[in-house]
Amino acid sequence: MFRRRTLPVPPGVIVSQFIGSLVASYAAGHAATDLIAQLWSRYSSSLREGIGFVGPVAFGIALIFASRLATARSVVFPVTGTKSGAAWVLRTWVLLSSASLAGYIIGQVPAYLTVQADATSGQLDGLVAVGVIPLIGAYVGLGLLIGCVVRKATGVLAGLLFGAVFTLVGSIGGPRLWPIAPTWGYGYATAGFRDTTAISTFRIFFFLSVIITSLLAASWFVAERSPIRVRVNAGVTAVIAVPVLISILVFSNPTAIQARVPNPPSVCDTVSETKVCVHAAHATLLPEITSVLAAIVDTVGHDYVESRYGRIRDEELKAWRPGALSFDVILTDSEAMKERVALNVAAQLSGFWACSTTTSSVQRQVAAGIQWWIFSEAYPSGDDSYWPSSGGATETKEHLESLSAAQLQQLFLDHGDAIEGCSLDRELLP
Amino acid sequence: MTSDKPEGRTIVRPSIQIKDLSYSYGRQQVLNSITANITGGVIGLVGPNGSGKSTLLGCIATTLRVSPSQVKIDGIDVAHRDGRSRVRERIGYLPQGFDLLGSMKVHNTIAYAAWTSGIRSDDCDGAAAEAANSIGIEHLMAKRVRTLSGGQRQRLGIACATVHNPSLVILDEPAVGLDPGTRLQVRNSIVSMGKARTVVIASHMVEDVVRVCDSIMVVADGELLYQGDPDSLATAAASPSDGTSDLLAAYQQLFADRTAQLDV
Repeated sequence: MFRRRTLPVPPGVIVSQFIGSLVASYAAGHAATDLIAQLWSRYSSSLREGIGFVGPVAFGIALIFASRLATARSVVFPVTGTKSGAAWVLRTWVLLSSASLAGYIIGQVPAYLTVQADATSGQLDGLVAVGVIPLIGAYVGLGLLIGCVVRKATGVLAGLLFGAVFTLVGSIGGPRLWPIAPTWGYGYATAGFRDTTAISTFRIFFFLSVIITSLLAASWFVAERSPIRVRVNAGVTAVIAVPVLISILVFSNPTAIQARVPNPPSVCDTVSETKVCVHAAHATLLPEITSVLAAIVDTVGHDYVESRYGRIRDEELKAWRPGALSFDVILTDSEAMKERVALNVAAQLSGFWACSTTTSSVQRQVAAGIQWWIFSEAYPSGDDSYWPSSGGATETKEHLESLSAAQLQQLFLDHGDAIEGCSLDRELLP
Repeated sequence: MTSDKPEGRTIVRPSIQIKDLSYSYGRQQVLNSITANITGGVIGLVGPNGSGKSTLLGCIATTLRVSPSQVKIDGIDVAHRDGRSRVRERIGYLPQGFDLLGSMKVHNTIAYAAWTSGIRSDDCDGAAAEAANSIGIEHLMAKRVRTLSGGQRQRLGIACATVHNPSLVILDEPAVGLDPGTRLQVRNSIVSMGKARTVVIASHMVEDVVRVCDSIMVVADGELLYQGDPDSLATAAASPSDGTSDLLAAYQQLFADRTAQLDV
């Protein structure tokens, strides 16, 4: 009868870990459905980003469990007990990690099936998917380690806060910290990109080293089985410190993190004689996108667009850079995508994207007014709540609406550089 | 080392030698050169709050590190890792403000404590039932820990600490927060345990200690002021032989604490 309970983790805690991870994983998959856009590359990234939901759950349950059961004041696992701390930590980690991983995998099934049914190109990135396993293990290992050390409510709260910071380190620190960050925030690999083999492999080994380090440290701390050994601890810390330093050196170049897929397949159409191309994976959205772009080209004039950009492209086919007209496709909903493309392209044509380097608030308001006007012309049913309700932007937009098509197109031809550079003065408006 | 033979089983009651024991947390000196010998029975450790009782118990229970030769249990020096490993299976320790997992059932909690204390898996159920019986919580076995009252949790803690039948039982404030009826029950359990084991209890309630202990140690400001017969404590406090009145002050402080509690 007792043999069942010789599992170091009570069944209730294992079930909580499983259900918590399953719900978090399902929520992550569901939240990413619109972003996945039926792309394997993006779904692969969403597996990693889903850890942002599942990891803290696994971490929190491991931490709270250990803080109740394995600290120096526990009478269930007493300091004077003869059970090995290392064996307890290892078995506890295996059980909690397995429960969390099982919940994670099952929670991902609906999102996986959706992508499998709809994806038109690419395949699941196996290394990114496998990388989820040590990531979950690292969360559980760190939770156990901190739980074995803290016991008071404030300590537990501080531990949970650490879990949140650990999860967000990629969003806070940016690409430089992505190699050692559990999630990357907005770092979804789009249709034209994939995580490099080097970084995916590095991450697997890095998070394995986090697991080893945290389990070793936890097995020393558990119920104060052993005192803190400064020399050994320094050695264990090096297990983490060395990979961190390597990652900073090797992956400081962003191209080492995500690589462009060579010769991505594209589908093109023509809008008022301007060629519009999207990644083949976005082919179903092309009609909606071209309808919006046609309205924009008509508004600012084909000559202006043709002379400056030549071609309009999906970012997956050509990285965005100043002087190239591009848009990103990240949503599956065609109406939402139309609105997004209108906003995106209007921001570039009006010069609003360049306004971050402009100190003149008047010029910024002029650019905002031009963007608003282009957006309204291209997507009349768009949401007006994006825009300021007063000030120079409204004034500029209303002024542009009063001009004829010829005057407007002449404005763009005459002052294209000033408009693009967010340096157009209001006096130059016809 | 003394021995007894209750219920047909030979029990060896460990002796504890404390020699020139000092302990500090950073710059704060908590114990100051304490020397004492403990030889079986129920030993009460009394002193005002913050006097160093829990630290002294932690040193004896091997949860706090001491220097070589400062604490020996049955002649085994607990300063060394090997020594600690050898004596730990003989120790049952209940710290003050101990931790339990609220979602576990009482039976599973005691059985888990039995398992972590080295009892074979097959024997853990029996050991749990025996420990629960001895402390009078057998009727709570199916309840979850989170549903227990403070007194019930305290008795559960004692059951966990003694489930592996240790020969040295160390209880830090075992009667704190208990109602009078439960306190009486715990006192009786301690007296019963003391017949076969060495039991060291810390308390700031003098009357609890006087009623159950065979000998008493008074600690104040990290110093051992008295060790001996509890009945002689009042006399010793009233007529200090060493020319100081520290013991009297500690004695009065203990009763002042008690009076304050009663006022509340």
